Amino acid sequence: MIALIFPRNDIEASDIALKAGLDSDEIYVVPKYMFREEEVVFSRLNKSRAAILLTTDPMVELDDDTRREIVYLLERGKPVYAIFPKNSSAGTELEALKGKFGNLLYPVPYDAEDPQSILDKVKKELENVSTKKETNLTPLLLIIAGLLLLYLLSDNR
Amino acid sequence: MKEILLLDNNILVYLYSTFKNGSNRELKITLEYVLKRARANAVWVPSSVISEFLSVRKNRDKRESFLQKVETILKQKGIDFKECLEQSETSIKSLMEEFENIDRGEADAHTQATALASMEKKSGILGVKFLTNDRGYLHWVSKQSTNFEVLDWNDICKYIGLNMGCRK
Repeated sequence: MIALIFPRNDIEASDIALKAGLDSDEIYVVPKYMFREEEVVFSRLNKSRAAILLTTDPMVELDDDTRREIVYLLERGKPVYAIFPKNSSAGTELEALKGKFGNLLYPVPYDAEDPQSILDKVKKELENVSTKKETNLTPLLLIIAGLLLLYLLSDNR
Repeated sequence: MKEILLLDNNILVYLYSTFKNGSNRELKITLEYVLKRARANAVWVPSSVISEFLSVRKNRDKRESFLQKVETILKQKGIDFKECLEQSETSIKSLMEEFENIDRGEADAHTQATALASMEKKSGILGVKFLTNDRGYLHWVSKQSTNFEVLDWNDICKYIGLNMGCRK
């Protein structure tokens, strides 16, 4: 199972995550609603072999739950791919975490003003990812890149 | 007396995608919260919305069992959950011609809500509300005069962290 994480107040990231995981049993979209059952969330994170963190709003910071989920995964040796806009609050925090969990946290910053760059970033990341058969994140990363590109190119931004 | 809440397809899909891996308790709390905020005691879904929701070949069984789960939870609370008959083709098509951005499910729900709300109180219906997240429809309907209430999902659920994105 692959965990798909988004910060609590990042509505577009939540939308993309729910769309990406809609009819898949292999993707666990980590809920952020108020009355989620913590033991269920962490038991599923424990069963996940890797995670993707997605953020779209540069102003949204990582909330306590999201931070806890990422650290929980990293401490258990599970790789986390973090896709975030350049110069974002979440990005700054993730770069700091990279210092502690360097070889497990893969930051994938993208330029929101240059949507095509997300494809180059993901393509570059896929070259690394495809060699790690145990995680096999290729299809999900491509779906997320596509949905993110659609959002970045849409008029609703 | 019934206060009916009609659901749009985007709400069903959102509930399914959010709670398909969650516990029954979480779904139950959400449904109770939505009904309380909407001040409704019955949930009806237009048949074209159900068809739209089940039109995905992959995991159709899972979607069907999700609807059954919703029905069981609501029935345990004594809340009516049912599929309502599709409105006449003529009224749906006429609405779709009037507002080209409306999809079939919303057009059906809109005409359904209009018809239900116009029934006499002796039919047991006190009020009708249509719950959706479709920005285009919400914008269009805000300029119309309707005999039913239209509710925006994000207005109802933003306080519990269940915000939906705005795109279809």
